[in-house]
Formats: sequence, structure tokens, C-alpha cells
Amino acid sequence: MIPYLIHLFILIGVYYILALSLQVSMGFTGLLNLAQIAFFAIGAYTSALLTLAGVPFLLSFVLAGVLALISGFLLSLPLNKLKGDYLAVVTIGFTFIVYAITLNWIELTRGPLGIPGIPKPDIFGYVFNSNESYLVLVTIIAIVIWIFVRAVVRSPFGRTLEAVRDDELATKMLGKDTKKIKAISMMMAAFLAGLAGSLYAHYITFIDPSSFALMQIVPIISIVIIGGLASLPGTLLATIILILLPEPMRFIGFPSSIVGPMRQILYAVILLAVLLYRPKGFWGKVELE
Amino acid sequence: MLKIQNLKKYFGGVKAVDNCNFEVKVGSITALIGPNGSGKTTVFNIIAGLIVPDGGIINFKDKDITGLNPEDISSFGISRVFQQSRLFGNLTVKENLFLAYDNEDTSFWKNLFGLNKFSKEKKAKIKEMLELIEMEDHANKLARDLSFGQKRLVEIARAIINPHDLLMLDEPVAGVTPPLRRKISNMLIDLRKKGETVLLIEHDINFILSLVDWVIVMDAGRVVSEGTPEEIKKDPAVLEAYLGGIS
Amino acid sequence: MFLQLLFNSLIAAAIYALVAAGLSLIYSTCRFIHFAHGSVVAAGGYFLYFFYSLLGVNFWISVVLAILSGAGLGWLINEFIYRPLRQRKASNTILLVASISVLIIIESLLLISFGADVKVIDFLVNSRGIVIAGAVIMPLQVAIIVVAILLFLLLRLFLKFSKMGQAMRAVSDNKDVAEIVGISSEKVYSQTFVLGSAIASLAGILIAMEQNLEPSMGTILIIKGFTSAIVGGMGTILGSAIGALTLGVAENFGIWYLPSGYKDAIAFVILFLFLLVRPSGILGIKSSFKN
Repeated sequence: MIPYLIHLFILIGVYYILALSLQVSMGFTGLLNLAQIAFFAIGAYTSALLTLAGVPFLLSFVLAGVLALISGFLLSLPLNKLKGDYLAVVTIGFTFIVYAITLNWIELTRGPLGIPGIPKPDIFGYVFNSNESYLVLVTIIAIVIWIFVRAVVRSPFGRTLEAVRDDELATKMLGKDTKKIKAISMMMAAFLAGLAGSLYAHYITFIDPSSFALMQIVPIISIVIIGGLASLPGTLLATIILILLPEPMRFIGFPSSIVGPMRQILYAVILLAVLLYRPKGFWGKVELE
Repeated sequence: MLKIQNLKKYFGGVKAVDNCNFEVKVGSITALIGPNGSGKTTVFNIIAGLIVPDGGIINFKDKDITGLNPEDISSFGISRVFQQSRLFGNLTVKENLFLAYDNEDTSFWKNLFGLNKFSKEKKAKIKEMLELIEMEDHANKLARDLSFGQKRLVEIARAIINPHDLLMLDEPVAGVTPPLRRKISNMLIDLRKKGETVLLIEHDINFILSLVDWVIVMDAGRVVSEGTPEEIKKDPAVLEAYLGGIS
Repeated sequence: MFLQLLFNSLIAAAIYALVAAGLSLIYSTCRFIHFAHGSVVAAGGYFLYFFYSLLGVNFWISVVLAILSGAGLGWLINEFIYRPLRQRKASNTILLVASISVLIIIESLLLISFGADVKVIDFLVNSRGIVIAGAVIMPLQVAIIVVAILLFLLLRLFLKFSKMGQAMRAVSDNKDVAEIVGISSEKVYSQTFVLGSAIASLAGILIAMEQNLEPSMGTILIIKGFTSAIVGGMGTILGSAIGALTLGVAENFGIWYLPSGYKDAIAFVILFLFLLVRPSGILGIKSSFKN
């Protein structure tokens, strides 16, 4: 039982970081950025390939975030003039392009075969071999990231993010450079998603394109909306609840081929239910627009 | 300070603004009045940068600002309050004011390491403004939870605290209760005492009579009369424009 | 060689056009991107499989049943998901997010009900290809192109001359004015979904016969359909056709140079480029529905 719980909590840690990244983009800045899975993928593949090439884990981890951040910056450029659903669709398109690259650039990513044997993190000689130690690693990183995000959103800069969300034109009219604000928001979100990707890759030790398909964004959106937009405590609670929620299905006796799609259905249904009945989520102060 | 020349704007066949000319002098409170449909809000929105005119020139402090973006207009020093509330609803009153005053808040690292955080001078200024509009108790209330009149007050405060040379207000007291009207009126008079320039769009003649230095009257897209409030009160063209006189 | 590529382009274009047509129709009236449309296409194909291959019903009756079922599915989605959301004043961004959820639900249900393995519809399987100047085209493929063209013509006539079609155009042009004139926009939305989903099912049926069935085909198809609609001009029937043709050609001539695995990627890149540079499409459509 305990090893199973440890596994779940590691996943909660990774998803929490991913959810925080979407929270920065969507909850605080009002950008319906569905490209987080793409940044997650970039982070995962970067970290995997670098460590397999001999680069030390810490460096690979950071570079995973950095490469994702650069992609985030590049994506933010064209997004500047777009709004609402067109912005969302462009981010969806970006996710597909990254997915297509992971699937087809076989020389780099081995395509559908994926990348196996990703090494466990080795930090200054200590190898995080066991799941227990990995949980500690993930927890520490998640806490650090939480402190970082909290500091940013409570700072005057965080105010400008929320201002952009509430009324971008009014923000511009107060003399603020909203293009820069949105770009920074995007870069930060991408960076965090990249880090989450690295943590994921080194835990599962095998990644392939299927983990990074568009539909993987649904649980993340659900977490952010249910927890409440712009609510950090809500994000944590919602991550825990949503990761744990489908687990009982394993014990009811569904054949394993069904559990996967059932989980997807569960997340999609929850998302719909929240959109229909409680778009503010449970702890949020902002409604999704 | 502000000079409008031959301003034109057509919407399809409708001449919303038709050869409009007027000037706003430095240090004055000028009102642009007229009945509904006279084009005054359109003129306001053109100056504010929201609408591109079909003709004419807008000259501000000897610079041509015709057709510029709203954000560029801000950088030239024009602060605006629109008819519809543009407060940041999910932010508190205090935060709304800070955003208008704090010009260092878009630098990410500075703010993260607390090098900008709520410096004494900024905090004092915000406190001063809150006291002026008598909303210190509501400082931490979310803007969307305020009453209509309170929202107006905060929005005007925000425009005032935002560094500017010209303050433009579109119907600032429409739908506002008399006590708040008086407060807004007093705020504007204080501004004039400090030598500031204000352009008001108003529908309600009574509000402006005691407040402004100069009145420009519009009807059907053009200026039909100008003068001091006293002169305007007696001007037959103005009475005609309002169809039935001043209440 | 060129002729073969041209044929392949036309077939692909016909399929994408059918998907795009329904999507465009729905977008033009309801003003949001019904991403779940792709899964309705897939469902149409699976409905045919269900009636014909599993239940053994006569082929042509199965086709009719499949189209009706698909139309019904579209109606259900609108009635129980989009309509309540609209009543809560949901923005079209929320509707987009909701439709992604619906897409996933339907695809997952298809996966659970029918399994992940590829399904084949064994009708018209053993036909001989027609050879023209060295290029081969199957009778079914000719049928698809013909059906697509016919459908577009019918749709055009419908929108121009029928009362329902005119109501759709009115709502897409200006919903408020249409309501003043007495047209119920909710009713029109409903009808649009039924019609759009019926077209989607037809597309699904043709694809099922020409290619094969697998549960995730909806996602790829909606991307291609959406790309076609955007490239041509979102919200117009003609736009769907032009866009689909462009995409079909780009894909098939593209993989002459690129490895074939990148075929789908071509659609994504074109989509991305158009959304950034020319979101109004080739026809330059900003909004409202035009013939």
C-alpha cells in the first residue's frame, strides 16, 4: 500500500507543478494557454536526452526548464495580438506541432519507440534510486517552486498580470507594456512546465509521444478550474483530489485496457461539470472567461 | 493644451462628428456638453485613441496625436475615465490605485527581490488618495464588490493618481448619488487649484455650471456654441439644442 | 506520378471538405469552435460498423441509421452541454474547452465500446481500381469525390433557398436582428447541429469505408477539418472547399519531398501559420456566413 501511495504522491508533486504553471498563465494572466503539455514534453525530452548523453542531472533539469522557457517566449510573440479562443487554438496547434516532432524526428526522439532507460537523478553523487527518495526530491522542488510562484504573484508584478487578465486595454492605458507582461508570464509558465517534464521523465524512466498528446491537458485544466483561478491553495487541493479520484477504479475490477480511457472520461466529465455548475471553482475569486 | 481641428467621423451614412473645432486651455476645467447623440462621446473616444477619425487633427501640447493607439496617448500624458467602468474587478481598490501610480511594476526581477515593493513614498501617496475619496475602509475590497458610485470614485482617483497632463472624464457623475457628485466636484475643483487641466464630457448642465471655466456645446456632430457657463445658460442656440431648455 | 498525386489530393480534399463543412456551418451560426465535431465524424463511422458489421443490417439502411444516429449525437451535445453553458453566458472560449472535453469523452467511449484495434467495413472491398494515364483511383474514391461535390451543391441550395437555411444565414449574420424578426436562435442552433452532425456522420461513413476505423481518428480529422476551414475562410462553405483543396494538395505533394510520417505535421504547420498570419483565410472572412 505504502509504495503505491508514494507513487501517487510523486505524481501529485509533478502535476502540482504543471498546474501551477497553468495557473500563472490562465489564472493570473487570463491567457487560455493550452500549450503547457508541449512545454512539459520539451522539458521531458530535453532532460532525458541530456542525461543520457552524460550531462549531470541538475544541469539537465535546469536546461529542460530553460529550453521550455525559450519555446514559451517564441510562442508568446505571435500570441500577442490574439485573444480568447483564437489564442487557445494557436496554443493547441503548437501542442500538436511539438507532438508531431516527437513522433517524427526519429533521429532525435526515436519516434513512437520512445526513450527508455532514463537515468535516475544523480546529485553530487547521491542517486535517487528509490521511490521514497524521489518523493523527497519532488516535494522539495515543488515547495521551492510554490514559494517562487507565490512571491511573484504577490509582488507588484503579479498585480500587473492580474490587471492584464481583467482588462488588457485599461492596463495599456495606464502606460504598462502588456506585451512584455504576457511574454514574461508565458516564459515563466513554460519554464515550470519544463521542470515538471524533467521530473516526470526521470521518475517514469521511459517517455514516448503518447504521454504528451493534447488530451493530457484536460486534467490540468480541470485542476486549475476546480481549484479556482488565481488560487494557489486551491491548486494544491485540487491536484490532490483529482489525482486520487480515479484510483479507486483500479480496485473495482475494471480491465486495465479500460482504466486509461475511463480516467480520461472522468476528467473530461469533471471539467464539464465544473464549467456548467461552478466555473469559479471552489477557492477561486475569478471566473473563467 | 488640446486643440481639435476639423474633426470628422462618419459611421456609414451617419455624421457622428462633423467638422468639430475647439480648444482646451491649460489650467482650466472645460466641459463638452450636448444632448444625446450630439457626438461628444465619439469625440472623447477619438481623442482617447479608441476610434480613428475620418478627418481632422488633434493637437496636444503642440504634438499631433491624431490616430494614435490608446497606450501611446497615455504616454503623451492624457489620463482618461470612460463612461463604462474599466476598473480591474478582481483586484482590490488599493491594488487598482497602485497599478496607476507604480511605474516600476513591470520589471520582473526588481519586484521579485522586493526592490520595488511598496516603497514608503508610494504607500503614502496611495493612502493620501484613499483618504481623499474617503475609502480607506474599503481599501482591500475587490473592485467588483463596490457600489456603482464607489466604482466611479475609485476610477476617477485612479485616473488622477496616474501621472498626466490632461485629465479627461466621460460623464463622471452619470448615475451617481448627490453626495458623491459633490465629492467628485470638489476633487475636480482641487485639481484646478493645483493648475491641472480637465476636460469633461457631461450631459447634465447643472453639474457643470458651478464647476467649469469654459463650456463647449455640441449638437449633431458640430460645435454650436462656446462660452462661460453664464453665457451658455442664456444662449438660445443651446436651449434649442436641448429641446426644451435647461431643467 | 503527378496525376496520382492529384487524385490523392482530391480524395483527401473531399474528405476534409466534408468535415470542414459541418464545422464551418456550426461556427458560422453558433460562433464557437465545436472541436468535438471530429468525434462525431468518428462516431458516424462507428455507427455504420455497429449496424452493418455487428448487427448485420442491410448496408444502405445502415448508412441511413448511422447518419441519423450521428445527427442525434450532435443534437444531444448541443442540447445538454452547449445550451446550458450558453444559458450561463459562457464565452466562446469556455465552449471551446467544453467541446474538447466532449471530444475526449466520445473518443474514450468509442475506445471502450469497440476496442483500440482498427476496424474494417467490408463493403466495396474487392473492387478493381480504375486506371487513367498510369494513375489509379478506386471506385469508392470516385464516389467520395462525387458525394462531396453533390453535398456542397445541395448545401448551397439549401442555405440560399430553404426557409431553415435562410434562418441559419440570418442568425449567423446578425443574431439580434434575426431574433427581432422572430427567428429563435436556439432553434437555429439546434438545427445547425443536427445538419452539421449529419454531414459529419456522412464523412465518417465514407472515411470508414475508404480508410479504416480507429477511435482516435476524430482528433486528427478535426485538426484537418479545422485547418481547411481556417485556410479557406472560417464560416463559409466555399471556404471549406478551398481550404480542403489547399490542404489536400499540400499534404500529398508535400510527402513527395518529406518522409511520409510528417504528413499530419503538414496540416499542423499550415494551421499554425494561417492562424498567425492570416486568420481570416484565403477568402478573407472576418465573421458572418456567406455563400
